[in-house]
Amino acid sequence: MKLVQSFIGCVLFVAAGATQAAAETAARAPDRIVTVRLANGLKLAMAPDSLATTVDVTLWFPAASRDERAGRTGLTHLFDGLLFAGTASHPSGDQSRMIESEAGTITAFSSSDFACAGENVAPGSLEMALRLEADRMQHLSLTPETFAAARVALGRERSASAARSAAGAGLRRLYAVAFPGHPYGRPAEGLEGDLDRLALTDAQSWWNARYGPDGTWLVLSGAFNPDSAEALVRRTLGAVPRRVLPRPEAPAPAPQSAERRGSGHIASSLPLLLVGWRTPSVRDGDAPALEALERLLTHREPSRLQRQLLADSVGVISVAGGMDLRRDAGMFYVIANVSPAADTAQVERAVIEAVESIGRDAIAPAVALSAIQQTETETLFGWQTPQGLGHALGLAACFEGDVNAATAKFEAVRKLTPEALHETAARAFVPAHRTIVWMWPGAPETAAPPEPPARRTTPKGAHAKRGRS
Amino acid sequence: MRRASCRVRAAGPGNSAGSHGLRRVALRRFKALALVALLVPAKPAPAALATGSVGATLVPIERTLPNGLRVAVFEVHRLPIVQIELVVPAGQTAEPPDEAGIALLVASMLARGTASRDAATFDADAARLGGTITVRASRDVMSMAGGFLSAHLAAGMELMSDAAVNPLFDDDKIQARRSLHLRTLRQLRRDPVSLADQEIWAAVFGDRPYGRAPLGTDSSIVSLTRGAAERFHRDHFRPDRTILVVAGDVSADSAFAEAATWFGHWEGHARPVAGSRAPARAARPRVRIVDLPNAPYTSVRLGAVLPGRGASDELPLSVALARFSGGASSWLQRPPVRRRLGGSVAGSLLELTDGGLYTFGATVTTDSAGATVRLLRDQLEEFLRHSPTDAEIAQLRRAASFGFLAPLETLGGLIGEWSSAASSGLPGDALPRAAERLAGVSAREIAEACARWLNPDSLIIVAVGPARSLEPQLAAFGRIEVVKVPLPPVPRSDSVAVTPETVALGRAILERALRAHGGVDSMLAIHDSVIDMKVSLGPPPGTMWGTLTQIRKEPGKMESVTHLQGVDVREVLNGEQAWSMMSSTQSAQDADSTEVAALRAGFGSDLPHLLLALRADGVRLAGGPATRIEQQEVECVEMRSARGEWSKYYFDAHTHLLSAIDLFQDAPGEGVAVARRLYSGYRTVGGLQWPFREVRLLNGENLRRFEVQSVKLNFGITDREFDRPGRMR
Repeated sequence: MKLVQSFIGCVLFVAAGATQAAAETAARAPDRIVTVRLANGLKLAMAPDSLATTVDVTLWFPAASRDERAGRTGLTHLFDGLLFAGTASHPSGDQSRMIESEAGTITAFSSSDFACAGENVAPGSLEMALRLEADRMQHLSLTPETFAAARVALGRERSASAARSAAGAGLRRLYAVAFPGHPYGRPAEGLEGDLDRLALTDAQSWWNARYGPDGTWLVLSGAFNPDSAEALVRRTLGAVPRRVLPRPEAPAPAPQSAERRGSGHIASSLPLLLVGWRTPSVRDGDAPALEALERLLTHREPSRLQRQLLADSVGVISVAGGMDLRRDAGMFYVIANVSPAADTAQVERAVIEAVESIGRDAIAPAVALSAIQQTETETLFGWQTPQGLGHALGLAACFEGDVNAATAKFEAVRKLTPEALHETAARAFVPAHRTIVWMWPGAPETAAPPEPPARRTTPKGAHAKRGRS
Repeated sequence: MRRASCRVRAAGPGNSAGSHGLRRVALRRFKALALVALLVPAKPAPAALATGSVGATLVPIERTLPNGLRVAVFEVHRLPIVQIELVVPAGQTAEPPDEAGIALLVASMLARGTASRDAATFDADAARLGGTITVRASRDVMSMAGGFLSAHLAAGMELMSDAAVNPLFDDDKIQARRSLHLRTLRQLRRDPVSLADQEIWAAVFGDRPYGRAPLGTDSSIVSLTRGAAERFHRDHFRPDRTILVVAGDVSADSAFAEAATWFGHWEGHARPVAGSRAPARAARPRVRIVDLPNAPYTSVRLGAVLPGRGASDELPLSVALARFSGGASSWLQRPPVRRRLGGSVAGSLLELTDGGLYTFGATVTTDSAGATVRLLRDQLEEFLRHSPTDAEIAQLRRAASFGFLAPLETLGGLIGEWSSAASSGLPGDALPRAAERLAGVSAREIAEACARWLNPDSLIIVAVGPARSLEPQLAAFGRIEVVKVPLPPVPRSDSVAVTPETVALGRAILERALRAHGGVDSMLAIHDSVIDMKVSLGPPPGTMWGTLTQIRKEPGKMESVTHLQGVDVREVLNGEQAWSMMSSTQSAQDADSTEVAALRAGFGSDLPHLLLALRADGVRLAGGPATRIEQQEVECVEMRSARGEWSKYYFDAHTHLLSAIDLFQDAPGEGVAVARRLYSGYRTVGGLQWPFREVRLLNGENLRRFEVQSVKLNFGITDREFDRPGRMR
């Protein structure tokens, strides 16, 4: 187990008491992952790498769109922009100028389960990056002006994305049908109308509760000395006052026990079929196999799905798919552009068969092993840089509260077998977990007629006369 | 070797081809600060860059196999992965002058099947390893790279050895690739930006290999045969001048052992490559105008020859130019410049074995081209006069070092940087030397290098746009050379003489073709059809992809649904009426007579209608002499209809299937071809031979490409499908 020996595996978790600084950092060694909980609640994970030349600094906040309360959705996404509103000592734009002038880069993004912000810098710029983050955490300029500007920008982004992508509209509808009543069923950018309802006080409350040190992970990876880095963290982010405020969390979505159907309209002339299968969450033991199954079905060109659905003349014009594993649930989805003249029932059957057959029929061992190898290879190549590794550790911290989960999951991938893939597929890709959504050409504003969708069927006898390509 | 990097503008074909040498100096992280020239007393250079343990990994362990193959191994035991790269001196500089473009063609053929593995087997074997193999050709070298788990080192190396030593050069694939390159070349000639990126190389390097277009020329591409590909491969893919680099979780000994196992049997000696020494500066006209009379704008480039890899001025220049044009905080991105030139201003630095090229420029309205050239030249002059502060120099050093080292964190980055230096003849410890040099580069070194190589008054200038407008604007900058863009060859369109013999020949050719396609009865039995296609507009890199569905019903009804760039257009022909609807408006618009005619032409554009049209009343056929289309031997039938339509059908001389149609304007005495359609990829559909691939050319230039996904015949389409709706279904 080379990996465990050399780089990531030796994880020494020292979840010591908040005030036991010396004990907290005991047994730390270079090139190992060390976690430390600071007095203000900030959790620090350090993955020093003596072969790296950059340092990746990322803060993973307990700010998740799924925890936004009804009527006030979109706050987390709003902060992707608001994070750059500046402070009194570093006005808007200052942070990026300072980082970029030292050849560094900055980032900020969010999802249904977390929000992240950070920098990738030269080792000599680590202190600057930490000071800037500490300044932002304490003094972000949340004023009527910065709030209004961020809201306008988000509104523009939302309009643009709605106009751009029929697939995006289809996925929003698919999640709404698959997760009824749960925040996973609404888009990360918030529900229509909520943006207008958001007030500055909503943003301030959200900021105070979710973007402080308490409950936030700071992940450092790359070229740094862990002792001096920890000292720096203590002087900067460690000095930010704790602000413990209630952070209510949404419950996990209820399991799905029967097929669901939905429909809507898109600004397109081609019908769009989306089929999703609810899967276990990223924390479940099946997650490694699900990631390999995603590669089996959708990776390389042409993918298995493309080979089966495009070559079979069933009326599918293009097809794509993906696995979306979240903290409390997951979904594997297929998106198919369908010919207007196609037999929709036949298209549905073909798409479902292409996915569910891998749980019902045996997967060729060579094909399964190939998918497992791809998952393993891509994961490792992604971990080559501090940025890639830091991202993996941050996700593990957000999803499982433990940076070790990244390596544990990788080890689980390595142990996968073709049988395990087949068994996971058999559990996940079943009718009871399935959601089918048809998006019909039409004005989107009239969207979402209740299910079941109108079906177009092939005239009697037409099948027998169809040519095969 | 290469420098600190500057991320610069989008590449033209010359810049995008390869990883070695050609990779533009990525100013990626180097949005750094200040610098520039002059007269600041040099600060003492730091003793060494604090590369620490990184420095130790930047020098590989090397051995040479008995067959001459140089093998270099970087032991990086961080993760259980390996990266393998084979670097062959088979870039553009190795091409025979009359076979320009052969390197790119050969690169596209490698790792696509071998003597013992067909393409599908090769892909499957690569997939089984979970890895990837890519091949790229650049001006100096060709490189094949693969990334694998370290446990698969042997299997990965075997696969790469097979791909490199025993490639399969398939006639059909070469022909398809050659056609693609030809169309791409012709399409690029319409784009002032791509043309400017390409022509600055020609203006600076003339007819030396670096001056050639990587794709080749019209005549050279046409001459690239399987024999030429095999010859190029045989001459240059030899072990004695090739470097095999392995990096990752592997011991040097085991990497050498695997290299000996899989590459030790490789034999032969590579043909020497002459190189591409840079010309004496100012030996050529200073201003080259590439005349595109109808270009809507003009793209200008200013270029300077730089020293080749390893020259003492290389790194100081790269630091200076990163500051000048290498990113969002560079000199050329300052608000006063951006306000006048917009976002198109950018620079690019490429350092190759036998010389480098620095270019910067912008794309502007034609009437401001002269002012733009002056502004850019003045900016360089002002930049060179600027004296950086000590703090700026220090920051610049930090950023330069960081920009150099950061890409080396990945195995691919490490191998790429090292092999780029090694293939230019630099020593094995070139990377740590460069890192140290960058960390200690002084203001004086930078100033002196700039003074030697960056003279604003001797920059080579290229402008691509309407020459008539550009000549007076650029006359003040030096001797002007106007270059005409070569026009693509137009198919001959001589009319076939109508004699009893040619009429009989025409009918005979048609009858053979109808039988070969499945017979007239099968065609007449089609009542309706649904054809789903992918459609692309233009060649890479600007290709737009979309989908097209055509639903036809006899007689004279057709619905055509196009989905392109997020916009859907639905056009319907219903007898004498037609209407259309866009997704953005959601309301139907009635078609005018021109649009109705276009839709009627579209209705007749599928295979059965095209062939049956030759049997229609009033059509005059004449069989012409056999000829060649796209290197294919074809029989020709000329058709003139009672309505004045004039076209030539070409049928494969062996299969009798439709290969091409030329559609002509009826202009007696001139016979100018206006459009050509190429058909291929035949499959059986409802008993008919149906082409699943169609390319439409206009005067030789690629307009559209259709890839049929499915064809359904007699599907049971109802007339309601073609009703004019109040709103879309």
